[in-house]
Amino acid sequence: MKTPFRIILFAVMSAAILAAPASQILKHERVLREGRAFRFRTQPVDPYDAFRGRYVRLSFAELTAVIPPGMELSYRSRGEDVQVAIGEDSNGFAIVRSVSKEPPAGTRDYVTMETGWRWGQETNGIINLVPPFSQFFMNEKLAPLSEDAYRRLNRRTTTNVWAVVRVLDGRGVIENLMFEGVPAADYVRDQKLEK
Amino acid sequence: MNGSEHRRLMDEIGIWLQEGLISGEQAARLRERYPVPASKNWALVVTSVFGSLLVGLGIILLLAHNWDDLTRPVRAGLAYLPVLAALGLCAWYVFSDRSSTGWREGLGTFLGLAVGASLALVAQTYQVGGTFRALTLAWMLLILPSVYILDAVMPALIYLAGITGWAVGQSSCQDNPTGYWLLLGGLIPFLIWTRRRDPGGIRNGWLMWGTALSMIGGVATCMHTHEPVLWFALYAAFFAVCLLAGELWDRPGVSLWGRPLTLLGGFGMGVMVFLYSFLWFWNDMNRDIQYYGWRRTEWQEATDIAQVAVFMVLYVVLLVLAFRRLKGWPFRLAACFPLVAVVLVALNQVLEGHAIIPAVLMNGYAFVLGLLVVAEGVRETRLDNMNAGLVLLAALLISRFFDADMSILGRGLAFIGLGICFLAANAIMIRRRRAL
Repeated sequence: MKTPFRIILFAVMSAAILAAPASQILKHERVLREGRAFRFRTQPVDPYDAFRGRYVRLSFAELTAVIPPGMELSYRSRGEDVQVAIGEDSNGFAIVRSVSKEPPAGTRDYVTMETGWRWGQETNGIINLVPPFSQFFMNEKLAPLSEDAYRRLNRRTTTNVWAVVRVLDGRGVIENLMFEGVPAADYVRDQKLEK
Repeated sequence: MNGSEHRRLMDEIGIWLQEGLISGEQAARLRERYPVPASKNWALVVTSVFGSLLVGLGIILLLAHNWDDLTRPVRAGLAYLPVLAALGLCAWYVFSDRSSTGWREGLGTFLGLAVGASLALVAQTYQVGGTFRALTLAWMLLILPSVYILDAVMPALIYLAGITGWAVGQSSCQDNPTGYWLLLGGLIPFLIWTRRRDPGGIRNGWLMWGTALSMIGGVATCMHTHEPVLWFALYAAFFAVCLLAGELWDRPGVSLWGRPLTLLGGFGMGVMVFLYSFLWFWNDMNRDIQYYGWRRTEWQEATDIAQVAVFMVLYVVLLVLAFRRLKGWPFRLAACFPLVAVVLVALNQVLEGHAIIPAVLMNGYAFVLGLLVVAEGVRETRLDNMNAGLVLLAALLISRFFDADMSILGRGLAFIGLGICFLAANAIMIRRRRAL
């Protein structure tokens, strides 16, 4: 039956269904276009957890910080949002510059991360940071090849593999996964051709 | 009257006519009195639903392949294709004033899956972080209105599966899953609406089964403790609520398939009665609460207690509403199970170290309940009741026979005493029949 209520509900639902992907697209496009690119070092992961479905599960090295004085973090609960200012080390890799509850002043290069495990004292203890980017989706044929390469390269040295992440105003979006300076997809394609 | 009932009546009329019980004219009048019930074309509904299901799932797989040769904007545009197609068809259906169950269910299925495919492709294209359950939650909230707009059961079933999966995901990651009940609340008006229009129908049956099974998942995931008193109280109240709600809600006289709440409540209660007939359950109940609850956070403790309290209150309200309608002692005794549970748990706490007493009383309750169910089944020649009672009695007797926790002498005497009671009842019945 065509009732006004039904038509209004349909219009609202359609708008929401169309807006949900659009809002994701716009937010991520903005970060990818305007955000500054950082190279995040990855580190070896548990081989059994390296792949779920068709994405590379990434684990990032050096995403820890000293809890600054005055920041109150609950001991028991993890998953609190903190603002993590990102900088670069002398080799051009991303490092944590500061951690705070509020967005850092004077920079747009920060990512909202969740707190993970912590150890040490209430202040000056170490806190583990969980970034919002941890999966790199890939083509189903390239994914198993990337898994092998990812494990092999990570085992050799941690600097051979990194993720390029665009960072802007609290958001971080993975642009690419690099194997020895080459995009992962190209790297495994070339390796496949060589074989 | 459904199709099979009508066919049976027509067959009977034919037999009465052959046997001369009624005349040809009377047979014709009876046939006129009971015309063929207007039935939906279920073949159309089933093919429509399965067709939409397969196309929707195929699209999800096609997009999951990850077409990395295509540019980002093209992939983002592709994400909209299935959802635009589904919304376009839904708009055509809503504005054309059609009313076809096949179309409604098929479109609901397709839209439900298309929204999921669209969200997943955007997440894949933009490497959106976050968990699958976060995506599921957004997906389910977006498709909920389609249940009401299309008046379709299939998106409701997708929604129930989705929110149950979300609650399981939340619980397994130590996050709060109690939002499940709020999400389920979004479907309650549709449940009432469907029940009112078609109480014994197939759509109502599917919807009620989906809801009942989802609720089991909800109760299990929202309970964080293995602390036995709370656990026992919650499940006793939950299954009793199902049984009583079934009595108030399910249409009487329909098959068991059409009465999922009654069936689920009765089955769950039977399993619980059987489990708690074992002595070790009662011994475990007296352990230090810290032994079971040490890992819970404050909000987990609070939601556990709140959940038990809500189900207990709901149970009392439904018991008051339904008690007069509960026909027969077996049903009344079964409906009192949470009260029996509360009394026995309190007794177990008072008589610390003598768990055998509540265990024996629970065995007595289970035995009487099984016996009454069998007796009613025999009296009303209802095989399903009789078999259910017999299964409970058989399980109880076999488990007690092999039960190493209880005294051999006590069990031997109890078995002989009960056997003599059965034989005496048998002798009395034979004597009465002869006297007639």
